[in-house]
Amino acid sequence: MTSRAWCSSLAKMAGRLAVERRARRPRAAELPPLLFIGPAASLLLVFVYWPLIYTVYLSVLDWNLISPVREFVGSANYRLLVFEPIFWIAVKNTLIYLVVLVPVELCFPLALALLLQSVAERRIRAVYQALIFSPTVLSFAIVCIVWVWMFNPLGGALSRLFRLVGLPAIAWLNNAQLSLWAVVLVSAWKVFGYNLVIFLAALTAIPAEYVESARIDGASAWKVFRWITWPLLGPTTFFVLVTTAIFTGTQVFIPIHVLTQGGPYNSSTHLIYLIYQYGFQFFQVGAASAASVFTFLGFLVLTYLQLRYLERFVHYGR
Amino acid sequence: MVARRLAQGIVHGCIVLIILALLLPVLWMISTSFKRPTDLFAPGLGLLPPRPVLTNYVLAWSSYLLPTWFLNSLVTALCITAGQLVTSALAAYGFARFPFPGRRFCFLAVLGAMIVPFQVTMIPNYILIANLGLLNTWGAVILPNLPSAFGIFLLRQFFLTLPQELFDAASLDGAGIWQTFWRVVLPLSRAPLGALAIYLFLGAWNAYFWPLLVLSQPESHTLPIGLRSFLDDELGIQWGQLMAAATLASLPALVAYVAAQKQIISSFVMTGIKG
Amino acid sequence: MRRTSGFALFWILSICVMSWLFVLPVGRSEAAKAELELWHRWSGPHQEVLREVLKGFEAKQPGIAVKEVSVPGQYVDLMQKVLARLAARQNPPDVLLPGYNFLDYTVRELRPIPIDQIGGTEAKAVYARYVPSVLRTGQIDGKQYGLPYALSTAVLYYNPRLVEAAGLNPQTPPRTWAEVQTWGEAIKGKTGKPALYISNVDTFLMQSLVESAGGVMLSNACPAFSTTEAVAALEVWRRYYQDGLIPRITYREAEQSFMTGDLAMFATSIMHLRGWTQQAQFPLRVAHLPRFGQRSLKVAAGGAALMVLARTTERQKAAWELLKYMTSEEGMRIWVKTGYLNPLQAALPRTEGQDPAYDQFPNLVGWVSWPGSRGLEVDKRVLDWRDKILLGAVGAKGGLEAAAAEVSPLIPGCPR
Repeated sequence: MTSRAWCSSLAKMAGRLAVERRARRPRAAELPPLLFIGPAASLLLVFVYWPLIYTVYLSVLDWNLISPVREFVGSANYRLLVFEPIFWIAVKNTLIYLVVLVPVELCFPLALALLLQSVAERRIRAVYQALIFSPTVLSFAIVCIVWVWMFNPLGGALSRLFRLVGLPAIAWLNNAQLSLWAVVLVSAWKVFGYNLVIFLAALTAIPAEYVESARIDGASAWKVFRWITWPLLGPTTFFVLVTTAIFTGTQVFIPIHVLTQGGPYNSSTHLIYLIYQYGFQFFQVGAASAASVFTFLGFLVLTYLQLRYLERFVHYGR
Repeated sequence: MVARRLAQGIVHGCIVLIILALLLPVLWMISTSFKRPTDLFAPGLGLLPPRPVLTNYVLAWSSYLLPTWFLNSLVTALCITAGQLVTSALAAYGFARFPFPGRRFCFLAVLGAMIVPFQVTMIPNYILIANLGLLNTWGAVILPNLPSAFGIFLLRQFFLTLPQELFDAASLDGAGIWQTFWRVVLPLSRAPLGALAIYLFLGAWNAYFWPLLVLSQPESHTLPIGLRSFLDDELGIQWGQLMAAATLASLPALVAYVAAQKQIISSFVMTGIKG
Repeated sequence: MRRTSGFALFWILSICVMSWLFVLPVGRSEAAKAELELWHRWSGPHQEVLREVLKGFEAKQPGIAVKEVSVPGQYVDLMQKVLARLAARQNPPDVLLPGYNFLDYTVRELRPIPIDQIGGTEAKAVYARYVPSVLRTGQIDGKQYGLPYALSTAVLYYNPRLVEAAGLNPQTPPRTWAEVQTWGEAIKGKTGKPALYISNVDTFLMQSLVESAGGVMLSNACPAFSTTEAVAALEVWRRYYQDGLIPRITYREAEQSFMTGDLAMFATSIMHLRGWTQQAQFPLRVAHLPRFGQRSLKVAAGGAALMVLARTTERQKAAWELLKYMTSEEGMRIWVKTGYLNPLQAALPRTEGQDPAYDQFPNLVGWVSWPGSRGLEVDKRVLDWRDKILLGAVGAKGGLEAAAAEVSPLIPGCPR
């Protein structure tokens, strides 16, 4: 399949070039863009678009990645997933991650950014900002390893702090009710700085005269926020919303893989983690591909909803 | 006046508390890396090592394959960043400057590629890389990450803001398409290119999911994968050593951050706001 | 033409760079000519001992170099890595040490060469070295696919200091699970420390408990672990969690607690003996695995067998030389320093603390190996249901019945 894929993409490119040459009329305007866009386009074709199609093809097979035999099973994999309780747990968890993280990572960074803005000293503000942003540059996986140690019920930082205030130490990672929240906590911690910095930049971009003139007119802080700041933050809020949503879809794999491996008994699993399990732990490529198709469709729906309904915010400010 | 001071004090207090909470894992990581094994579980708050030692660092450096992992991470991150910058700049220029038929469709396809999560396409990509015999090589990590739909998008936005007079002047001087790109447009794009470079490099350096799939041999691991494999260690996790290794692994990012945090932060902001 | 020539140059350059990337290897997994690759799951002290064994081999057979590759984790992680390698169209490792709990899966999916085929006339002599009941653990349908190498049973480790602090006598460890309950309550009451942990990383202890209570895991190659006896065994285990005798922490965390003297009793494989003796902050004691009342004890035979996956006759011959050495008296003498038990008939020195494990030899049963090509998935599902029972999300009877119903369709020939 692979040499065929390479040949077909090369053939596509050659075909395009051939078409160019045949149209001898030097539509010279068509050759350069091809050469400019060519590298990136062919790479995207090979590593993004062709795999999408191939995934759909794999989803109707029963294959374990190893044997030369690939059996066509039609919609069996899809039916397997639909009747599989673990799949629905993964869907539910994916939605929980989304529905919890997005609002939290919108409100709290924004609140802190507003607070930070009120700090008069510019240099202190820069120091604060730099400190808050620092988790973003660290590797998420390495930091999750540190978090495993933080969650350790015997010697970890969290247990020690709990014991300090008299609470019993909790075993976060082996508790079916808490494991998902442990992942949420770590994810929230990671994204916080980035969102704050974006909001802060946007807040700083709001012309001071607007706020000042409103203040002079006697508007309270809340009114200023509600009618001036918030609408002008529209595009930024939309951006933060979208990036955080994408984060919960893709990056959340890392804390799950390092902290809980989806457990205990799938209580913290996620659609993306499920795809990985089916594909690379059980070697059931068909089921993994079917789950990929479901996930991708979910993503499309989500993106469509965001673009359709939330774009209003973007135009609000105009 | 006093109320004002008090309010200011509370604001600073809140901010400092939140910062401490945010930095707790980093501080804890560093503190543990200096602790003796027997002090790891000693009762008490234990935020500072009671009898600090350097042995964890020595052991981490010698018994984990840290130098190899550093090299792997560095090479792959550099190659990916370079590749993404080059292909994105070229493609963005093509999209911005040449009104060719089907341009709109192609650009929408690029945007579409941005929303496809990597995990959805991972199995065919894995099969492709395996068939090419590239597993456990740098190429396996670099190749599928060479294109960056985001980079194309960002740079095209920027190129669109360049005034037409610029290009008119260039063609009057007899500059061809390539000359214009190389001599005129690129030098003007230092800022977004630099910002994008930082953003992409950090993304490549910290990549986890794809290297996890394609790098199974310890010698070929990148830093995050290599460290994660030590959570499965048979002897029970040596937290002091592991935290020392984690600190060493985070050092480049932290040092770069301390040196250039303004640029790094502004690069993230720029790639965000413009995007 | 100037505009296109600069371009063409750029394109040619980028194609060159990209093809360079194609060829650039790091840690190429194709083994060198005469070097055998041995994949196993051990790291730490066990890996050191294994290296010692291999050194002994290379001294005897200087022409054959052996590279050992460690895949840290459980046996299931080793299986997954080997499968990933096969999926990558690369040659499988020449020699593999898969766990007995995936024997069926390994033979079915990885197709090792039968020992009779590799060893030819020499095979019989090698078989004669073994204790007959142990030799059977490497067989599927009567055919010998693996030579038993690492052999372990489950034992009860305990911390005599904590035991004394609770007013109990460390010289008389509990012989039944009921006694474990009494001990546990005393330890928890008097010292406040968690009393017990039973290994939950695989089906090793689950099977030992179920079979000791009179149940079985598989019957006629189909799931049979929802019988009354099996339910009773899981009930006892679950009650320890419910009564707070077993803390709700992960295996890694429990191991850490035990080492620092914050956990009193630990039921797990004898394979940890060497590492734990070194690491424990107290004098480690070993006792027999407790029984259920007067029923006879049954313990699963844990460990790994040596299997040959090499495809060329040349490498198979070299692998056979390695197998002969590793299963010889000399090779095994080095290996049993790890704490694993001696599967051979020849008398070898015992490590301090291994006696209870050797006493349990007559009680060995084969570690259950899930049949069928979905064995990996079956294993995970059974373990997940067991965890649900232990953590109190579902009752023992309901949980085991649900587990059996869930995995039956995944095992060929079992009711759907």
